[in-house]
Amino acid sequence: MRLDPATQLPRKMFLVCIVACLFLAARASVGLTQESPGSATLELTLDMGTSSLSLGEPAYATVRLVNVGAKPVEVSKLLDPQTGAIQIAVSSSIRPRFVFLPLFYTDAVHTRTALAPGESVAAVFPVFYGALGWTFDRPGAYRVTAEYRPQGGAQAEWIRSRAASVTVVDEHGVGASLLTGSSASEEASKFLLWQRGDQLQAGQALLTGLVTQHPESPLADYALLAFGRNLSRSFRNYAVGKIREADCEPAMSYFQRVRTEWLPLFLQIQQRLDEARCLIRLSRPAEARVSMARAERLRAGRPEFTLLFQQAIRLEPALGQSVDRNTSSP
Amino acid sequence: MFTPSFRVLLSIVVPVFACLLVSCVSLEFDRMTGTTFPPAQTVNGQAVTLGTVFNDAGISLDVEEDDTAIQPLNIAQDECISDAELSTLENGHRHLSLFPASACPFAFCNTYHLYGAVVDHYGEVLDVCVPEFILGKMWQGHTRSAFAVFYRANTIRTDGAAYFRTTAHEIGHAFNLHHSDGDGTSIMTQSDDLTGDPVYRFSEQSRDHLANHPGQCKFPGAVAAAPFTWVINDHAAWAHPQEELTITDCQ
Repeated sequence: MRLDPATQLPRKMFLVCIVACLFLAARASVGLTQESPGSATLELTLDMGTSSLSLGEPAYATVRLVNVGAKPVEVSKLLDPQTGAIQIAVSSSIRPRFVFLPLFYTDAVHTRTALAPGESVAAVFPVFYGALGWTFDRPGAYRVTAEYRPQGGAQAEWIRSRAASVTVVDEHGVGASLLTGSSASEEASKFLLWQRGDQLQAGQALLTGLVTQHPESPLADYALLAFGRNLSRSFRNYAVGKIREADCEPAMSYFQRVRTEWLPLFLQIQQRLDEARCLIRLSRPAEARVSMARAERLRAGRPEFTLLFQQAIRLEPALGQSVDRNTSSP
Repeated sequence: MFTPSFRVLLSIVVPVFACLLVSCVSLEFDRMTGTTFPPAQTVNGQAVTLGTVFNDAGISLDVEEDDTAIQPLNIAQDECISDAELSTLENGHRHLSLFPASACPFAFCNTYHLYGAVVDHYGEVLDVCVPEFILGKMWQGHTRSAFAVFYRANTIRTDGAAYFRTTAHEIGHAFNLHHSDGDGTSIMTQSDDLTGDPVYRFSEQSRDHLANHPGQCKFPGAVAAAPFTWVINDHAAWAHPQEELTITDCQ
């Protein structure tokens, strides 16, 4: 049978379309495999925020778990080494691979959330100090990897991020005082980690000395921020059986000395939120609104910082009105 | 039958000799005012306590209910207790040493120490207060020698069975047991992962760890203790934290 050319044309176009679709599907499949090692449905990314650290400088990891599949997936809603949902592995040429262990371990309930296709969960947490001491404890080049373990998944099913590279340099020995292993250096490390802790007097004294002697060091900014954040909140000290109330005047003095732009974004937001809380307490609501607006701009809609804003409003409900006002403004 | 002085002598000598034969763990257990200790459970007409749960797995756990009137130190708008504040709780109220004490010079017959507290607050995570989310914490990551249960959480306050199970679970972590040691219903199974009615019993994998691994791999506060997750046998799914120290002791 000989077909009329006019009837053959749609058939040719149909075949071309089929081939094109198959080609595109194959390309998409290849791309997915490359971008999601260990999983066809979840992709884990790790961002250390910087590729260079001074010895003794606090470091924070941002992890993001994205559903790159076509179906909803149940995942842990809080990605944190404390809950065991995330594991951070570190290796370097000078220190074999080890796993970051937090100081505290947390057991939670209702830990899962359904992640729709394209959605993600993200979190920021400190990785510089834990149960094994300082993570980056000597100068050198480190590779950091995040691993997410799906519920009940075997080791082969863990989802790993690409490695992030971090180079640690000894800044004229400034940070070495935090890594001596003395009780004062351990206390100072915990104070930087928690940014709280009235009981850590020896550690606070060590950090005060560091700020005085090396005000230009980036470590001084982390210490000043920790002092400010500690004072901006009340503190339950069970060792003496008393609450130390928030003391916002000196807290603001510390905040004003911090070179905020040198800090990781996570800490910049924390500082602005604490400033806003303190300014409300100091009856300076207009300035509090400015601080909240700065925090909002730094956040830029990123979901990993949502909990920080909720915490600030929980501690100072008046900030909620400020958020509403900022949100409604053009 | 015995004279009072002989009874006193017996009460001292028997525990000492018992600990000379096997290692014991003393749990110093405190609570805040307004809370209770986890209630004993009844299974098949028999009372199940923290002591019996661990005894069933071959661990001699002596629970000493100590301070029952710690003031919660409530702060308006701040219902969560931070890790730094938990640390002061341990510093201020723990009497037992962090490390083992025994007249026996060998690792197999030490008395190890663990501190626990029931706090009338919620727990923090990621530097943030998330009410009703945290049930318990275990800390001193290296020595695994302290834990807290968060009584403000509705699950703990209103469900005695869950409260009891959470407490045994946190103590299990202090013994270097992990969620991967659960089998769907046993103590180390997380609440979200239960596949049946929870039982007050450790899984076979947990029991193997508690029975057969060396002291520094399991006892809280052991001298040169393996940090949490150091055990790399089947029961610990997470990788070895310091792989250069591929110790076979804990396998």
